[in-house]
This record gives sequence, C-alpha cells and structure tokens, in this order.
Amino acid sequence: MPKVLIVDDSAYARRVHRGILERAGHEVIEVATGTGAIETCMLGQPDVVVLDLSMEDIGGIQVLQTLRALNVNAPVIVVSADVQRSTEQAVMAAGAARFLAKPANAEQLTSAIAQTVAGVR
Amino acid sequence: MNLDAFELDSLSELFNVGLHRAAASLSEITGQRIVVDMPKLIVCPIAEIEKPLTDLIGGEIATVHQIFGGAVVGDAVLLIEHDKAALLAKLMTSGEAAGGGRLDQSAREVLAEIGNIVLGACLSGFGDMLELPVSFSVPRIHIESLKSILGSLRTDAAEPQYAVIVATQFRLSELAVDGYMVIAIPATSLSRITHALAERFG
Amino acid sequence: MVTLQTLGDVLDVGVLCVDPQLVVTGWNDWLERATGKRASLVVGRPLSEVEPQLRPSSRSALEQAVRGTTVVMSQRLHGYLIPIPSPSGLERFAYMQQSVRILPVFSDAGEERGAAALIQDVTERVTREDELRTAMEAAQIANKVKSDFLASMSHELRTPIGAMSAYADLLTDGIFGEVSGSQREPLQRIKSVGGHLLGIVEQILTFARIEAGRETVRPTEIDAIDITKEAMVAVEPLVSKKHLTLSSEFAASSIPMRTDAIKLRQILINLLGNAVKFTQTGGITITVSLPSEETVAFEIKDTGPGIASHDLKRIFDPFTQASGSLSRSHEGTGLGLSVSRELTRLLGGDIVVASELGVGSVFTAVLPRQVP
Repeated sequence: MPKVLIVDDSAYARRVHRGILERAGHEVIEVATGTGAIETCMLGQPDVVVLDLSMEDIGGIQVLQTLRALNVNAPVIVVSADVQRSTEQAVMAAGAARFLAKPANAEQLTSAIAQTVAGVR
Repeated sequence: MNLDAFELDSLSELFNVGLHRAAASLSEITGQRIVVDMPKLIVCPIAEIEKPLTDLIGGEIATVHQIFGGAVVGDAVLLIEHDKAALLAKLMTSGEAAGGGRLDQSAREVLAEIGNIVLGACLSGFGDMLELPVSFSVPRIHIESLKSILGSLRTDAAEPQYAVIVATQFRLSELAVDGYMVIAIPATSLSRITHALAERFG
Repeated sequence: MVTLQTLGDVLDVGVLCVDPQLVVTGWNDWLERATGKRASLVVGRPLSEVEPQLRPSSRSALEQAVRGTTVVMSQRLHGYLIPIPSPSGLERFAYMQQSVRILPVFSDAGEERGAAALIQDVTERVTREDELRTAMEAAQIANKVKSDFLASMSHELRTPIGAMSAYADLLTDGIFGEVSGSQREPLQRIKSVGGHLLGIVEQILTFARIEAGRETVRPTEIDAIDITKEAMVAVEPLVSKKHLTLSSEFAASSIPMRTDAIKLRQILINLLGNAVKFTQTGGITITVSLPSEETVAFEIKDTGPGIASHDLKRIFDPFTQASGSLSRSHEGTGLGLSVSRELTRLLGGDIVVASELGVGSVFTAVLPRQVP
C-alpha cells in the first residue's frame, strides 16, 4: 500500500486524514509546514502527498512548484477548504494530480489515492 | 467548560471550511475574487466577551444578526467596522452601493446578504457535523456600538452560554476588511459539536 | 384569516410561493398587478413555465430556500428575482428592481417544504441613490476644477506682476542706464502700483481659497508683539503720506502664541490698512491685550468718520463699503474686512466692531493663544 505524506497546519485535519488512511492500510507520515513537506519528499520518498494550501510558512502552490522543480515524482492530491474555481485551476496548473474540497470524506480520499497511484498523473 | 488545543483546532477547521465556502459563493455572485483568512478563534463564557471583543473592534460597527435553531440553538452576529463595511459593499457592487462612504439602504441590503451567506455557511457546518438541519432567521442589519451589541447578546438563559469569537479577514482587490463573528450558544450545544468533531476521525 | 399572501398585499410586497419542485402554489394580488398574470392561471403550473425568462441564479436561489436556507437577494447584486417591466417614470432600469427575501416554509403536513419569496419594489429608491451618487461625483469634479483653477491663477497673476516690479527696480537701480531725477518718481509710482496690484490679487485669491475651503492653517510658535510690529511697519508708508499718527500699546513686551503667523499678519495689515484708508486726520492706535489667559485681543482704533449703526451689520460682507457719503469713494475690492474676519475665524477667533459717527471706529480681533 502506498506510503502517504500528509501536509496540513491544522492538527485536527492531519488527525482526521491519518485516521482515514491508516484504517485503509496506508503508512502515514505527517508534517505541518510547507518546508517540512519539501524536506520529507527529498528524504522520505513518499508515494503520494496529500497537501493543504494554507500553511504558515509557504503556500501549497509554492510547494507544488518546488516539488516539480526538484523532480519529485510522487503525485500530489490537494485537499483544501478554498473551493473557488480560480484556485482549483491554479492548483492543477501547478501540477497537482487531483483537487478535493475540504472536508474530504474517507471514500473520496482513498479512491483519489488509488486512482492517482494506479493511473497517470 | 474549557476547550483544549485540539478541540479549538477542530472548531477552527470547521469555520475555515465555512468561510471558504462563503467566499466562493460571494465570488460567484460578484464575479470578483474574494479571499478569506484562516480564522482565529476565542472561546469563552458569554459573560467574559467584553474584553476580547473590545481589543478587536470598536467605534461604529455594522452588524448582521441571525438566530439559528434546530441541531444547535443560538445567536450569530457578523461584525465589521462601519467605514470598512461601506467600502466592502462599494467594491462588491462595482461602486454602486455606499458611494458616499456611508452605508445607504442598498448597501445595508448587500451587507445583509453577505452576513446571511457567511453566517449561514459557518453554521451549516455545525449542522453537517451533527447530521441534523440548522434553520436561520431572516438576517437583521444594524449600525451600532460595541456596547449595544454586548447588551443584545447577554441572555438570562438558565443554561450557561458560551461565545465563539471568530476573527478573519475578507480581501478583494486591494481592500482587506477585518470581520468578526460572535456565535453565542449554550454549553451543551458547544460540547455536542466538539464531540462530533472528535468522532470524525474515529 | 390573515395569510402570508394577504399580509403581503397589506405591506405592498409580492408573495410568490413554490413547492419543492418549483411549482407555483401562491401568487398574491401584488404579483397579479405587477405581472398582469392572474393567480387562477398561474397557481399549479411550474414557475419556469409561468416565467420563461427566469434566470438560473433566481432558480438556484429558490432551490436553496426549498432545501431549508433563508436566502437574501440584494438589489445591487442581483437586480431582481422575476423580470417585471419597470414602473413608469423610472425607465433608467429596463426591469423593476427588487429586494428579495426567500424563506423556507413547512407545510402543515410536517416535513414537506417549499419556499416563499417576498419581493419588494425598490426601483425608486435605487434611482434616487444613483442620482445622488452622480450629483456627488459631479460636485467633486467641480471642486477639483475650482482648486486647479485657483492654483494656476495664483501663478499666472503673480508672475507678471512680480516681473513688472522687478523691472521697475532694475530701472531705478540704473541697470539699464542712468536715471534722471524726473524719471525717478514715475518709476516709484510703477513700483507702488505694482505692489498695490499684488495686494489686491492676494486678497482676491485668499477670498477665493477661503470660499473653496482650501485655506489651510499652519501653526507655529510666534510672538504676537513681533507680528504686530511687522504689520505696523507695512502700513507706515501710507500713514506718513496721509500725515497721520500710528501708535501702539502692548500689555506685555512679548506675548507668545501658537497660530498661523502669515494669516495673523495679514489680518492686522488688513485692519490697520483699512483704518488708515478711511481716516483723514488724527491717528490710529493698535492695542494688544490679554482679556483672559487663553486669548489675545488686537484692538485697532481710528479717528475716522465712524460707521452708522445700520451699516455696522453689513460692514463685513464681501464687496460692500458703508453707504452714504463715503460710498465707493475709496478704492479697494471691498473684500478686506470680509477676508479679515474669515481668516480670524479660521484661527479660532472673531472680529467685532464698535463705532461712533464723527468720532471713529474700533475693530477688535480676539484670537485664542493656541489655534484649535
């Protein structure tokens, strides 16, 4: 089962997502900052990243762009409360594999991971 | 009743989702990009809200007031400083409302709509958590002082009442407007929400 | 029995009721009159059939209400819920402008929901607000035009007058060749007329600036006695030419004040100049005193012909001089006293006058020591 990195500055959101993913059998690592996410991707090599957009240090879009620039291949699923169309477009343009609106339920999250890992980015 | 850091965080997430939904609705209605900040929360007994509110806002305040019932029962108020509210209404209507820097009748209506959307989006979140519907009264808009707002929130209810103060910022074009919500709800309703939130990861 | 429909009619509000499938279940008299469609022909039909022009945003607002949410549709953001031709006389808008609240309703049977849309005609209010806004914008533009005019006029008028006086000076100093004795006096007159003209221009511009609300006060720490002496020096030439006396009485050798020095000097020069202008024999006395700890009084007494009591009221009005034997016999714009009083008021004070025919006049300017 793919190893998942959860990136969110809300402890609550991280806990909810961890609960969902661990119950589905995934190995989960979590970080609370954008820079932490980039570091972990370089060192820990997760298979999938579940990314929030509003971290305190650097924003999700910048994380996406940096990961692309560093040739990190793990697909990124953005899960965000910001449900504006323009945001979704910007996120997909920056290289995300999927965009889910918060709060994402168990089914949405696990199927999104399954699809992105199996299919194309 | 004291909320620990985790419970506060979970409530913040709830309001975060609600505020973003409201911002998306407003963006669609006005055709302009409207962004909201991650909210900061203060939870305290209703008798103690004067100090934190005084630190946050003062002067002439535009308020939108709604009463909600059903899954949870209580009072919700959106507070924005009058002059900023007038600017917000003006920008959202491409300069048509509140042209003179004061909230005219049309501008007040726009604010009532904004308040209805913002409060509604946040409070439906409560309903979603408890999987029960929440109903709202028709929004009422006033221009009043903090003192008057505090007076209208104080209740003689038998049950202890709590206040959730939510601080955020609405941004459109180059304008940033501080907005505050005060949700006054009985302790039992508040704990039902935090329990439902905690159970979500179970 | 009072129903929502009849209540709507009493309050002059349209009441449109729909069921969860947006079939019309209520259509009150207001709506009949406004749309020309009779309730009997509308109730029971889908709203989209009754109103083919119904916009998607209106439809989704009704759907939202039917699902249980109160919806507010402000006129400024939505225009209207259902298209109704604009009331006559308000053709600024093609359609009636509406302020709408849509409330979820629960039927007596319990769970089943629907919605009631309360529609208010606000076309007139909105038209008035737009007219007011347009008028305000026009006023702002007019004000800006006035300010820009004043700014450019100041420059346009002062420059040539300055140049004229400069040339007179250069000629007098012999820069363009030796000046004969008989030429000196005409040159002196050019200078003096130039200075006089400049004074009038300044007065007109000050008056215009005050009218436009553009005069600003720049307070500094000054000595009232020093400013008074400077004003006295300025009027000295005219005093000696008319063989009058100019004396002063100071309550103290130094009176510190915080106010606009230039304006105070201008006020005193105006009042002193005025006194000199209207006095043929005798003299002018200026007294500076402290009526209270917070005020300074500048009293200018002259031995002129005095002002009749019925003229005292109008003496400060712009463009007037006292009537009677002295009417228009004195040159001047008629603005001096008006400007003096406005400037004094700008500095937080006022001017009063007392006079006795055949004896003389006393003009007193009282100013706060600290400009407010």
